Amino acid sequence: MQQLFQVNLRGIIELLSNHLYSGPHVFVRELLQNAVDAITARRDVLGLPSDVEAAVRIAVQHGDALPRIVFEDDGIGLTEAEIHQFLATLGESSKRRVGERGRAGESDLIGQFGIGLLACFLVSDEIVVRTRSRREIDAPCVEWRGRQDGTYSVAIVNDDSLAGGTRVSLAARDDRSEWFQANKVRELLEHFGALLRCPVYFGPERINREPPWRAQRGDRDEFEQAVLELGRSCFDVVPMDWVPLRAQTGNVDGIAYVLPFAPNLAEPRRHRVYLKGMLVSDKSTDIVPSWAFFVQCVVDATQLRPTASREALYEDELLEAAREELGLCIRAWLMHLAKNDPRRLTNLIGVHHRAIKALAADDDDVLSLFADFLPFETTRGTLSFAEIREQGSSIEHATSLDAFRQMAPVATAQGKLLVNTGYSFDQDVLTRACALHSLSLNELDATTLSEELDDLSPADQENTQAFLTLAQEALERFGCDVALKEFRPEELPAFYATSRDVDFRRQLTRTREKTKGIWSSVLGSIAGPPLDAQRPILCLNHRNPLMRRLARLDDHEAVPHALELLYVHALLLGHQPLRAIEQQLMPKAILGFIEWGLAVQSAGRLQ
Amino acid sequence: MSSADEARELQERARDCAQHSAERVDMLDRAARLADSAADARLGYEIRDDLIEAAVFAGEPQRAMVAFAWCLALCDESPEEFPESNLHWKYKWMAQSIADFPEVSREQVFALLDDMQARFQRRGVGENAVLKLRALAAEALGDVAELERYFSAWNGASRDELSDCNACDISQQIGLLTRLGRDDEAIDKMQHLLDSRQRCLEVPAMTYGMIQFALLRKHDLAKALAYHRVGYPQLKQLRKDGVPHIGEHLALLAVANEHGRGLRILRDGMPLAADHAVGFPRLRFLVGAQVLLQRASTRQETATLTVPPAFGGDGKNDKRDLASVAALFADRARALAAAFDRRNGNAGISGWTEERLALATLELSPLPSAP
Repeated sequence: MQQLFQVNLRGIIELLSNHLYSGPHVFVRELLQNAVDAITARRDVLGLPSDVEAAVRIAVQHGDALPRIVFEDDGIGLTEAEIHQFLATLGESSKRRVGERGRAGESDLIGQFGIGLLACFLVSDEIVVRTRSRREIDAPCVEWRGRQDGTYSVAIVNDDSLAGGTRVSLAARDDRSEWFQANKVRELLEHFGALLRCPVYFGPERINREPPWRAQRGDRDEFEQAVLELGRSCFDVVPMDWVPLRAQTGNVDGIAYVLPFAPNLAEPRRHRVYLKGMLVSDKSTDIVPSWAFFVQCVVDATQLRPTASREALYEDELLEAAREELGLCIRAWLMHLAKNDPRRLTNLIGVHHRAIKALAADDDDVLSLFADFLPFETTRGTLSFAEIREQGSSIEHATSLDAFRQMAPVATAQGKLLVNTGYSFDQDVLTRACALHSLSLNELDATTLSEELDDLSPADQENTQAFLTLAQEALERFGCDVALKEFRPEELPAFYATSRDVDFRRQLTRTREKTKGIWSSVLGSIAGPPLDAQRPILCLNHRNPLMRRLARLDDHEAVPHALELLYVHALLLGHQPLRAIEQQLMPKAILGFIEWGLAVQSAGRLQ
Repeated sequence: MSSADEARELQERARDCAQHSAERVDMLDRAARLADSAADARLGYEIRDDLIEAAVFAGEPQRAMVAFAWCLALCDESPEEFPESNLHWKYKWMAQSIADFPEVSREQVFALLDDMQARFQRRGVGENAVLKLRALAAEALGDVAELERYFSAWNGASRDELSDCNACDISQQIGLLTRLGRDDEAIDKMQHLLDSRQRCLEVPAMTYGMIQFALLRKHDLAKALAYHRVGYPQLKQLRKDGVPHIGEHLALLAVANEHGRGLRILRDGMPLAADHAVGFPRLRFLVGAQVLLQRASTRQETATLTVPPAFGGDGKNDKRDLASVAALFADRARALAAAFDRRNGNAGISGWTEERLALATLELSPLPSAP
């Protein structure tokens, strides 16, 4: 005996629209999926001769009432018993994850059909399904009408227009009629179904096409045309190059398009992922490894798992393995380019060197292939690693942009080549590249640079000892050391040697001057022990004529004033904002120096 | 170009740098100094606003705190011009790392949390965010009883505009449940987190590491390895900010006898961990590394490692065999744990450390060979 029961459609619809699907447009995908599943079932169960086209046909009808959408498929159709079966499943929906598809078994297919239909209630108040099963000879045409309020009817009807398969018809809900506009429907069909295997027609127009990897291979040019056409329709970009993708895990095929511009590293690329020809996401970020940020991909997989809403891929070991394999495709292509097409490679590197460095930082094989081509910023302009290697067996680098800027003039004047590795990946890549070629790589920061500068001759050291002692005392209260060295360029009287740590401590000290209460004390604690701390060094240049003269003084007034001024001047040159005590220094030191000068002149004591 | 202009340009360029990168922090640091040279308080504030976030996600909490303190001082000084509410969310990040510094005293930790709480109360929000942070602080303060207390209180307090996102909350719950030994709950929550696909910038990347210890205690090596395989590549992208959780992956690989992979990950992570300025993240890394080295050396792995100065090595040419590095790391871990104990006035962190070091002798039955 048949039992009719009230299905809590209301609750399930609420669940779908608020918690599962990202928007009402999903109904198009659900109806498409139902149709595709039905055709697949027909092929699997009954066989589909190659001269028979089993298609999905969609049309929008405008009468005098609200518009209707009709989805018709040449699939396997449903029997009356199967209709009651999907109703029973609807009633059970709370017990299983709503919208979960892809499980084996025909009874599940029936169940999925029902759940797929529910998405239509997002845009419509009444669904009319007419279906005729192909499993039985002379199967009747059964009509099911379901309403938003949970009532429905099932009846056998006469409809010769339906030879076999299913027709779903929806009338627009008043407030959702925008989803029934012809161009909107067409857009959605294309969005979701562009790569579906069975033909999809909107009116007379076929919506989908075979992707290049599935199409009959013509000549290479045709294939390339198809690839570029696909790229154009997916990403609206003319790629610089492209890479065919193939992964056994997940049975993935696709194309990676090389972007014609250097992308923003902060934003991940968004790829298009299809599952058995149906769009899963056009915002996927995890189908290729993160170092592949210079490509944008379209892929179609048959064996990866989607999430419950089918709008993303499930993050599991299958996806991880597929991702690795796809990464290997791109990597292999790069290697091929390096070996066989240096011109194309140079173009690529010119735009995408950051991406290649990101890859090389982690992967020794890629590194060994590309290292020589990779560009770095140096004191002699942008040089490739090959050019850097030619300069000598020992390479020096500055690990921050600041340090590089600070040391560049001194390094240049000394005839040293300094590489700027302050950019992401540069340090890693250079380190590994040097290791590969057995080159020694030395990090230079200003404090180590000052150690490398030449000491004075023993005679000069003796003559300047008094001065140096006074100078060191003068700057003690600023926590700054003083060194007297000889270096080029002569024109540079002094430089303020700092490092990342020194700058940080300075920033911390300055900040403490501004804070009160708990934050002041916390900053004091996190600063670390003062004994361990590096100190900045004011490096005076004995090659500079003025400094040489200054260094002969041992005047207890002149020397401190001079040092204070030199110190503040060096800070300002280095764009270092002043601490409170340093700001107070300026007027005092200038005036003091003027006074001293006047006193000296009047006493005739100038040397 | 004036200093202010150059500062603005650097601020723009910083936005294009990779997330979690030191490069972004350096650029903003420099930009802040330029803004200060130009005596532009507003520009200095805005740049530091960016810098706080960049530094937090680059694993540089010290720099974040310095920038934050500056901004907060400005807010207190000129509340009309610099509304404090803008910093409240960032105050939570500060509160989350404060107890991780063993140099910061208990009193300072509580004073900071109290200050934050007072400001939140003046704003009119509830206790949810503060209770969570007190629970997290209790972990680094070695106080399990307080941790339990605040954990329950946090779960009972209703969420508001200053509460973390769901993904972060669930992730931290998993971490704390693991700390409390409530392994089944932690593992279930992890499953729920993954099923519901909730994510944010660092979740579930961090969580795949946080759950490892619970899985090892339950002897679920298969799941632990599965989570490792998916989670470690995600964690790696967080660079220095991921350091505390690298250790958890290393411990797992040690117990699973996958020494080769473990040593590769250790070599990659060591420079980052050595450069990390904060005690608790370094300790987390050290314990995991020690377990790996201990087991690898007792199983006759003959590799050598270069130990960075920050971990007691001499630098470039100081290559040591695994057994001696294992011994070195054990000493350093215990010394760091002892520093925490002194700060905490209890033996909580030492106990935690010994529990993890003991993984070196955990024998689980071998997995069936891969399908």
